[in-house]
Amino acid sequence: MIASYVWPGGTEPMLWSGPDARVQVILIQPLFEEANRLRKTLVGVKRGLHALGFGVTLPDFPGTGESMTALQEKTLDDWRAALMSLVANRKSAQQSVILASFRGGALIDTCVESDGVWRLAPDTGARFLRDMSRTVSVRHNGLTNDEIYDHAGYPLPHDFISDLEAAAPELASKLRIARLVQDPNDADVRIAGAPLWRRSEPGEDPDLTQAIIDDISFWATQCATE
Amino acid sequence: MTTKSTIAPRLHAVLADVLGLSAARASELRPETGLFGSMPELDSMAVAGLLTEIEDMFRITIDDEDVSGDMLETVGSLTDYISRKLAQ
Repeated sequence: MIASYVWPGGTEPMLWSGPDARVQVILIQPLFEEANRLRKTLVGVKRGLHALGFGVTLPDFPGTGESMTALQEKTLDDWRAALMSLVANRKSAQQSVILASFRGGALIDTCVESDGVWRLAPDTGARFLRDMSRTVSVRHNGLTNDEIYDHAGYPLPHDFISDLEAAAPELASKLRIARLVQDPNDADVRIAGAPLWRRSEPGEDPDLTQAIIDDISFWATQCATE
Repeated sequence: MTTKSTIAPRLHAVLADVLGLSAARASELRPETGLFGSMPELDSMAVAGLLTEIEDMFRITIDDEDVSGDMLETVGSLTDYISRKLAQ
């Protein structure tokens, strides 16, 4: 269902299924354009996990998605504060909380203690910035006549960019990293599929979505019962 | 040893993954297959995603000043570029 949550900076929208379930999974979206490209996958994962009996939250962080907050005024710490509020709310209801981060979501998933962390293809903030600034530089190189935006269409304030430049996924005590089969970086589990977050035309892959559901389910169950 | 013959199939897989090409279209990729300006899926946003994915998969760094219409003209020209970067 469409709901909202309160954090110190205001109220933000979220999708939340299974609020009474004992094990709650919070899905942390990728950064900016990658969140749009994975939106269908994320909603599919939310539905699939809920069908397995988990409570699942898909929050919009301040300035993203359906949020009415202006992104220009926000930093990564505001997203961390929003996540901390969400987790505190679940914990106060005596629920186990598992954080499942997609791509850049891994940059904020250790700001608060959870019962387990699962990540899909995490990367450093500097790499995400490079990808975004490359979109601009490709346009500057005369390969298109499209309008030039600040950062691939996202008007990011200087503080946000500095935060992102320095941000990297941090270790967590119960951490599982999933990557695609073709990704040369280290991982705890390999999932077959295409990097949908790199596609300029959002795509979907039901097999990839199911593999993500299965692995988050495995990890959430393991972490919640330990 | 990395040669163009070993780079090509990996590049074809990256192109198929990032551009969402069907298996049939991916199997038709040849050195002379046109990319930027010829392949409708390869717009400026797709170029950025493609280059970043190539960096990750081949573990190379693509300098912004290297990105040009010539480099992205065909599958062959992009393969040549990757081959040169791997040899550095």
